[in-house]
Amino acid sequence: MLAGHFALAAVVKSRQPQVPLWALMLGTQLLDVIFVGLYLGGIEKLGSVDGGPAGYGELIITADYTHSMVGALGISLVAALVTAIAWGRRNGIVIGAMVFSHWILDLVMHRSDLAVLPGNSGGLPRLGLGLWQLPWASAALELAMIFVGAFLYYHAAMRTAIKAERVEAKAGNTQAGFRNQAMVASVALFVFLVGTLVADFIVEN
Amino acid sequence: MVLFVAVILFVVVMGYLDSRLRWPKPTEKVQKYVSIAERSSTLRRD
Repeated sequence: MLAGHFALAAVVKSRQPQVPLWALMLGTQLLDVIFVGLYLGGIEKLGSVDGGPAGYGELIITADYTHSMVGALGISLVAALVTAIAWGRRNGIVIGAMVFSHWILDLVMHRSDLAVLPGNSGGLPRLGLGLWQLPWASAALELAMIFVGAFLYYHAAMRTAIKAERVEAKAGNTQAGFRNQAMVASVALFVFLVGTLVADFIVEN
Repeated sequence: MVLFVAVILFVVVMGYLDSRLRWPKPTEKVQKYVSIAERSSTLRRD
């Protein structure tokens, strides 16, 4: 699930416009970004349900540090603290929640492969509600999130652009064109989100 | 890995397109409410 995470970032951007979109997008994928580093280092692993290449919804991860519940909470807390130092408490909370939202969405999608404690200490039962077992249902959920995210982002961007154009018009500049830029950003977001979902279907891990 | 690189490019491109819009800055106080004094000043006639 890539598109769903990014779509959630777009939804949050529309409600918290002061947080840059790149920070929300990076935040929502931070667990996977760290996972790639640990995967390359041989610490965390990827597999598939049947042992072959993993298509959409067939992924099994052994990511007992980045994707364990407590590990994800720890990473979210660090991200929140770093953001709070740079951009204030409110933005810190937003980014922290954004980072942990990755684990929540993974909990809904993944089969039971998410550990509770880092390193799967204590051998507690692994978590995962397994919506991926119904690939078309999970894809439909992601698609719905894409439409909601793109729609809300478009509205927020247009509202901001209209305000900016009014300010520019008062200053005598009637050629600001912020609405065009908002439209370009919104269309690009939608295309990229759909592209990410399609790529998730095509590319095998 | 190809997908990972594509995702990074996605974030960079969207970050650039988004930054061209005049969103409030992260450290800027977002003004959700317009004070009554401010509203009435727009109705005042010179």
